[in-house]
Amino acid sequence: MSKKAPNNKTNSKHKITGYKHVRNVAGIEEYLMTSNNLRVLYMHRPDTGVVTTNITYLVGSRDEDRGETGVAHMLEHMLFKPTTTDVKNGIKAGSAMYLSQTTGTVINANTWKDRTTYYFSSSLDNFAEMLRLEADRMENVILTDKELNPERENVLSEHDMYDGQPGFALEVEMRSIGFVSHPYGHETIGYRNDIEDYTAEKLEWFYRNYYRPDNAVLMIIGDLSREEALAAASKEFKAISNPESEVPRYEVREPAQQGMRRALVNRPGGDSVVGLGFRHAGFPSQEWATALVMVEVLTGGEESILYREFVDTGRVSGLQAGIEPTSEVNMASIHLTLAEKENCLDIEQAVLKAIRSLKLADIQNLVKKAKAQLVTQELFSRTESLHIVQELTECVAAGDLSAYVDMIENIKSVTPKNVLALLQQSFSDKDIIIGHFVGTDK
Amino acid sequence: MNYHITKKSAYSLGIVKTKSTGVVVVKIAIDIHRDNSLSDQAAYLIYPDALFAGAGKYDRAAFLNELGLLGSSFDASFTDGKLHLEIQSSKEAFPKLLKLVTIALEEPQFTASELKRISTTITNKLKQAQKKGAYVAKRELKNACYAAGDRRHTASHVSLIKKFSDTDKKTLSSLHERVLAKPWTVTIGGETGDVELVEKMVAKLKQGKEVPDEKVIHAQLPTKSALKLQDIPSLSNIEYSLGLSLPLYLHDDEYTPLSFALSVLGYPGFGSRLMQTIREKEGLTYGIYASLESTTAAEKGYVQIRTFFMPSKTVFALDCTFKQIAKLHKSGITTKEFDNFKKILKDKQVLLQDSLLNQVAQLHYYNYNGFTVEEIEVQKNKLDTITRSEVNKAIKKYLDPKYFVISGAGPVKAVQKDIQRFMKSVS
Repeated sequence: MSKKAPNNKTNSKHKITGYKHVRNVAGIEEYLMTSNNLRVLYMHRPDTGVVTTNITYLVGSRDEDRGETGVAHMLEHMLFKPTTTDVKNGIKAGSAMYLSQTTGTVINANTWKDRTTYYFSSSLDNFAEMLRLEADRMENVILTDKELNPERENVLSEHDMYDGQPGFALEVEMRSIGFVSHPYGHETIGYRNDIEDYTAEKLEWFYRNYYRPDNAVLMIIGDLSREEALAAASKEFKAISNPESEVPRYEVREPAQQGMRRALVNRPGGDSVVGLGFRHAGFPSQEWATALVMVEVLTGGEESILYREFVDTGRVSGLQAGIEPTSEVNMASIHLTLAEKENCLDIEQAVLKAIRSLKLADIQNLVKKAKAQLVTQELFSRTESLHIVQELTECVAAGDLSAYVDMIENIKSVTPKNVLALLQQSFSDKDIIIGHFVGTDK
Repeated sequence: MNYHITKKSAYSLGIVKTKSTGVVVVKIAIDIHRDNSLSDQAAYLIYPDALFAGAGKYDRAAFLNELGLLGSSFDASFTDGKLHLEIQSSKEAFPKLLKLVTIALEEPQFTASELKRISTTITNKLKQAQKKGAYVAKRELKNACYAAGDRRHTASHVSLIKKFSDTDKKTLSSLHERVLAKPWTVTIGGETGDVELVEKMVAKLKQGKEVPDEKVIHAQLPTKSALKLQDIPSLSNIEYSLGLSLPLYLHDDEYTPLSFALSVLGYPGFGSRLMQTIREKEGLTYGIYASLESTTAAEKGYVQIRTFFMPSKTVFALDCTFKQIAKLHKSGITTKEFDNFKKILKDKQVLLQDSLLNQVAQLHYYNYNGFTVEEIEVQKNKLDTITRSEVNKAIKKYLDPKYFVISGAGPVKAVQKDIQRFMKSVS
C-alpha cells in the first residue's frame, strides 16, 4: 500500500509576510511564524460562515511530577479566568467568559497526556476577538491563590464525577501499576489529594515554562482566506516572545515489565469490573493502528470476540475499551462490567482463555470489518471543522502532522497476521496488567 | 443550509443536499406510542436488538457480517414510545447498505433463541442502569410529571424484566407491523442519487400499509412540587434532575419565550446564569444546564435542570440553585441578557452550517414536528420578533420554584433529612 506523500511545494500563494511555509497535508497548510516559531495550520472550508480556531500547547499530564498530578488540567481551567488585560479593561468575567456570555461561540478546552487544547468555533464576525483573547491568555493569565481556590472546587467536583464510576476508579489503579517510572502512570485529572494541595506558584511555573509560541500550534479552519487568517494570527501573536530557557521535558524510559501486574479496588455498592491492560505503540505508527484494529476486533460491537463470548451469554453487562493516541508507549485497557452472580476471577480467566485461543481464521473477517468501520468513522470525522481540529490536535501532539493522512492508510495496511501477533504478545502473562473492581455489600 | 421537506401520506421526507462529502446520513423516526402498557414498554426494549438478530436469508451472524463488511452503521433505539433508526455510511457503501436495511425491515425473523438472548442482555443493561445516578434522577423526574399511560412514564425495572418472558415473536411481529404502518419521518443528508434511493426504499416498505386507528394517551400530571431521592451509595456525587411539567405545546405563543428564558437560565456553555453562579462563582459543580424537554406539536413537555453536587455541599448547592430560579421568577431577565441571548441563539444557527450531522438533526426535529420549510423559517425568525416582556411573562407564569420537583440519585442516605428540610422550605 503506497502512502500519499505530503505536498511540500511552496508556491507564490504560500508566501505570506511574517511566515515561512512548511508543507501542505491533505488541504492543510502549515506555516511557521518567523518572529517566534509559532506553528500555524490553516485550512479553507468555504460557504459555511464559520471559523474554528484551536491552540494546542505541547504540555499535558506527562509533564507532571509526583505530588503535582493534574496541574496541567488545573491550569487549563485557569485560562478561562480574567487576565491582567481584562482587569485593565474592566472585563470582570474575563474575555473568554465574556465571549461565551455575549455570543454563540463554542468555547472549550481539554487536557490529555501530551497536550492541552483550547478551541473556539463561531461565526466569522467573532474571529478577531477569538484570536486576540487566545494570544492574551498565552502570557497574561493571573495565577494567585485567590483566583485558584474557587476553581479548585470545580476541578474537585469534576474529579469526583469521574471517580464515582467504577471503570474510572479501576483505571486509575491499573495505570498506577502499569507504569513504575513513566508519567503516563496517572490520569490527567490527577489524584484528589494533589488537586487539594498544589499552589498558585506551581501553576505559575507550568504556565511560564510551557505556554509559549515555540511550544504551541495554532489552527485556523474556516470560511476565510489564508491571507485573512494568517494576517489576523500575525497581528495578535507575532510580538509574543519565548523565554530564553528550553521547554522542560522529562525523558523517561519505562523499565520493562517482568510479569503479570494486578490491581484491586474494593468499594461499596458499585458493579464489579474486570480490567485488562496492555501496552501499545505510540501514535501514529503502524503498530498503533494495529492495536486500534485489535481493540475493535475484541470489543467493537456485537460481532466482536468478547461481546459474543460474554455479553451475548449474559455473563457481562457492559464492555468498554479505550486506546489513546499518545506519542509514546502507553497502556490501553478493556473493561468488562460483570452481571450479577459472576465473579472477577472467573471472568478474568475466561476472557484470557478466549483471547489466547484465537486463531487466524477466527479474526480474519473481523479485521476486515474493523478496518472498514474505522475508515468510515474517519470520513465522518472530516465533515465538521471542530472534528477536524480534534484530529489534528492528536497529530500535532504526537509530533507528526502527516498522520492526518497516514492514519487511514495505516489502518488499511493492518493484516490479520499483525493483529494475531499483537494479541499473543499483549495478553501474555508477562505483559498483561489485570484489574478487579469489586463492588462490596458494605 | 440547502434543505427541503416533501410530505406524502405515509411519510415525510426531509432532505439536506450535500456535495462531495463522501458520506450519507439518514434518520427515521416512527411514533408507536399508544397507552404505554407494561408489555409495550418491554417490547420497546427488546425490539431494536431483535431487528438485527436475523432477517430474510441471514441469521444474526450473517446479517451483522454483511453490515460490518460495508463499514457502515445502522442503529435502532426507542425513546418514549418513538423508534429511531439511524444510518451512517460512506457514499460508496450506501446502496448495498440500503438493501440490508430493506431486508431487516421487510423480513425480520424474531426467533425464540434470539429473543431469549436479547432479554438476557437487556436485563443486565437495565440492572446496570439502576446504578447510574443521572439516568435514575431523570426517570423519576419524568415519572413525577407524567402518569402511567403517558410515553414519558417508565415502569420499574423489576416489572419490565418480568415482562420480558411474555415478549415473544407474536408480540414483536405485531409491533413491527405497527412500525411499518405508522407514519414515518425520514430525513437524509446526501446527494440527489442517495435521496432517490432512500425515497424508493421507503415507498416500497410503506406500500399498502394502513395507518392503524389507535387511541393514544397523553397524561401530563399537574405541576406540583415533590421530592424523589434514590440512594446509590457507590457514587461520589448526587445527580439531580430538577424540574416541572409544563402545560405548553410547541406551537403555543409562550413556547419560544419560555425556551428563551431557559437558555438564559441554563444554556449549555458558560454564559448562563446557573453556570455563572453555581459553577463559576460558587464552585459547586462541574456543570449545570436547563432545558425544555419533550415538547412537541401534539404533547406537553417538561423543564429539566440537570447537575450534580457533592453530598457535603448538596443542601447549600440546592439552595443556591433555587435562589437563582426564584430570582429569575421574581425579576425576569435583564435587557442585557435579552440582547446577549438573541445573539447567542442566532450565532448557533450559523454554526449549523459547519456540521452535516447537526443540520440533519435539526431538520429532522422540525420534520418530525410537522413543519414545512416556510414554517421552519417563521420559527427561526421568532428570535427577531420576540420581546423581553414576553419572556418575562412566560417566566412569571411557568417557572415558580415552589412547584419544582427535586429528583436526586446518589449517596443520599447521610443527607436525606437535610434535603427534606430544604424541600419544605421552598415548596
